[in-house]
Amino acid sequence: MHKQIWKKIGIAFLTIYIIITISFILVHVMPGDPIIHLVGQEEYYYLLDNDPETLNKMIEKYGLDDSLSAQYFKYLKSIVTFDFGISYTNQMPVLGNVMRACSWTLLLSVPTWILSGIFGAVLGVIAGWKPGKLFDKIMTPIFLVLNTIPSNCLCLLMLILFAYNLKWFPINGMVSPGKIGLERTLSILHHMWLPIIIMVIFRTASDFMLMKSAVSQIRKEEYILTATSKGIPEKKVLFRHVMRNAMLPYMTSFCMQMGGLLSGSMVVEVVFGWKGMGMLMYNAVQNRDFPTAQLCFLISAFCVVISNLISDMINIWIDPRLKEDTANE
Amino acid sequence: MKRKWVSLLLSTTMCMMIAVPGTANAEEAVKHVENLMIGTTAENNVFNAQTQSDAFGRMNYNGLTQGNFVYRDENNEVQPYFFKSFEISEDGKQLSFTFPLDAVWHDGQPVTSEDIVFTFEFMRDVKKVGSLQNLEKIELTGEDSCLLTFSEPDAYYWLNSSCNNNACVFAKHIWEGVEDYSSVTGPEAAIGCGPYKLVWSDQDSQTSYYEAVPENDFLGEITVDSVTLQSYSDESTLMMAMMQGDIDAMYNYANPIDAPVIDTVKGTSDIDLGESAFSGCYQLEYGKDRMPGSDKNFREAASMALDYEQLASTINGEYGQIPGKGIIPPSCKGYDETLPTLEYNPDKAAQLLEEAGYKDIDGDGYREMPDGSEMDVSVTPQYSSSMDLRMRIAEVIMKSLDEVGIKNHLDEESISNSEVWEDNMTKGNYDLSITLTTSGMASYSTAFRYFMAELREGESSWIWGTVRDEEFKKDYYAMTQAVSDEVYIENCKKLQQYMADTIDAQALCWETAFFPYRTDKYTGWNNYPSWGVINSTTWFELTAK
Repeated sequence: MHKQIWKKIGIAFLTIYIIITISFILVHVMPGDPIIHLVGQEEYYYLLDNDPETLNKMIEKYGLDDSLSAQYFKYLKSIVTFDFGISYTNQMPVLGNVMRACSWTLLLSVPTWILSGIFGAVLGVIAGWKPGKLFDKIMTPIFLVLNTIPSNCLCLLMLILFAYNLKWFPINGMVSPGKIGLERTLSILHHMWLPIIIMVIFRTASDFMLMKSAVSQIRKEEYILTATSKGIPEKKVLFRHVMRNAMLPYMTSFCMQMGGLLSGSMVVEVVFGWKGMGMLMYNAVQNRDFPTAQLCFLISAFCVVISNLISDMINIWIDPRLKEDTANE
Repeated sequence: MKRKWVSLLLSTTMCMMIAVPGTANAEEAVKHVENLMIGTTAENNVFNAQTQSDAFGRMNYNGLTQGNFVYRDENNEVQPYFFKSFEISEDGKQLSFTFPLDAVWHDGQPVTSEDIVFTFEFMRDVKKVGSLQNLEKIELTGEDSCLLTFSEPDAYYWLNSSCNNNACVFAKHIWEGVEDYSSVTGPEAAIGCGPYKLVWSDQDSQTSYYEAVPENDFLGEITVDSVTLQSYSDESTLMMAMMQGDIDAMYNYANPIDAPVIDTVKGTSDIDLGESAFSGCYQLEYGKDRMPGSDKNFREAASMALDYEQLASTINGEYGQIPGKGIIPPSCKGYDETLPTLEYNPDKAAQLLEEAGYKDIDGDGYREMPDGSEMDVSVTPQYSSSMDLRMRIAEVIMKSLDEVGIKNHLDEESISNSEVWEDNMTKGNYDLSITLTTSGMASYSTAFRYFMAELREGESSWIWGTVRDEEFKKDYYAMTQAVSDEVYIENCKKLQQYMADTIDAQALCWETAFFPYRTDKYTGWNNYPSWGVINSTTWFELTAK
């Protein structure tokens, strides 16, 4: 079993290395000259005319004139030393900017992950255990619509209804200015509500679909029929036989969602002015801020790979068949 | 006793008579605005007096924290701000100005004549400001006066471009010896000698707060005691915040609120839409380095084939106007009202094409070149990080051309890569190029700058045009190097006439700009065309109701 786990860890590291390389290439083949975004278009043309030396100095400072291979090794070195350089947009260390954005994103994504994981599981089990009943008839179309509606559309509708018309929530931002201590915490909570509700709705909808489909398939299995015919109470059948098996795909999906915790929800963050990872990545790509974009991609990829690894390990732990397989190996 | 009562009554009456005018005076006293809330879509992240990006840099176009030398007023005329007065010599090579002796930096130090001299040296030698490249001498001619001498007649151009480049006084004790000025991130980077000082900023709430510095009362008493600048994620949320009363006005540099968004704001009580004529415009240039753009007959026909109503509606909704042949909108200085507007006449366009030899020889529904070769016109929108509107404009143009039998295609390579686009522009490798003149550029360089194929010596960039006529070039530089408004206007009109005659390029729409503001709390708003109510005079004119 240990050998199997080490093998998976090895594959994870190899995947991360490949992702690092791909993200580097992707960022550098993005259209657009970063120096124009660095100095601004009008100023860029002034400098090009009147002081190309200053432009060259800036290009040199940011290493934009290095060969692609030199930039690639610099990039690898920066990852190892955790020195990701200075952001092109605000001249601050990239790592600091990204860490700040990460903390704001986690404020939204962790509660979303947990709440929707619970709601999706509970509602999905109820709908899947008794398919075609009233609960299923009501919830399935609702979640189906929510699962397919574009997120920016729902964001704007909810923003107009709850923030603008009803004035229940702030229109934009993460916290009100000038608040400290408990007041600041409450203000953040107040600002968090609407984006979290939207994110929970979306995530619950997909979790619900997954759980419902898993439960409704498993309840048709012969071993469930055997258990029921043996006179085992319905609750026991559900929790001991159905849930246990339905949890396998659900847990895999749940763990994989963990990989998206740090990449944020770009659309929600952009609409609500939430300065998290999604927004940072969006702005970094828009402004050709290479160092920031690279670190954002790297973190996202790292999280996805690690969450897959965790998901594999949890599966080995909770699925006796996998445990046996690895033991036999 | 009776006399006592009479004298008491008289004295009471006299007291009342004295008191009444006194009360009136008190009422006449200016009611200060306690805190002006301004919304913007720029971010509150960078606070460096040397940069023009972000909310802080953008707001300094209005001399918020910086002592800008001059500002452009609502009539497009340059007025002194930090300068107390200025004068350009007849040959346009000298600029004399006076400056205040009582202005202070936000760290408490006085602004001195040394700062003034340092500023011009810093702008010329370190910042390499293009319009100061010919500045030869900076002389103090008195306690509060200075003389700038240029080797070329650049004084007028520098002064005009200053309004759009945050040209302001820099503190010698902060910036002396600093080469990499944009990387200074400490609190000293935000210090200026403008009417407001940055008190605090909060990146998490995307807010910055400024308080008045009464000593720096360049245009009179500062009537707005403090300013809060709040960033929003986009125009929609900005407008919602204004409709809810969270902000009083907006500032977004030269970017007015889009027509679809403004329609949702229309009719909201206590909100003025801040409507004005926009001085920038979208324009189309015909690539004259090759056929068919080099053929005036084609240009004339193509110009008539364009559906201007649809273009106006695409660009500016119901507020767009069909433009005139002189390209620059009526709100620009030097606009020539005698020139006619562009005409949409597809039948005439088709007839002109026929007459010029552009006929459909092979019967595929599209015309060939006069020599019989295939004609497939490329349409190239200017590369930008947000291409949505430009792509829609391109679609309208392509549809219009298609209707008169001009085969066309979108230049896919240019719209996906800025370097390819720039390369194609510089080499004149295009047939129809869609570009944008911002209101900033419109105010001193004008749209004509984009059409130049060759610039004067020392200038090598932004060569997107294909007009190679020396006459055009001469008139352009005569306009930008004008020594007075009269000379500027005279040459500006020549350039408009040139475009009307040659159809080398044309405007696509004249727009109406919207910069909404609330009217319930304050009075004295001054809506500058193309810029809105937040401008250099706001701090001195806005009062509470």
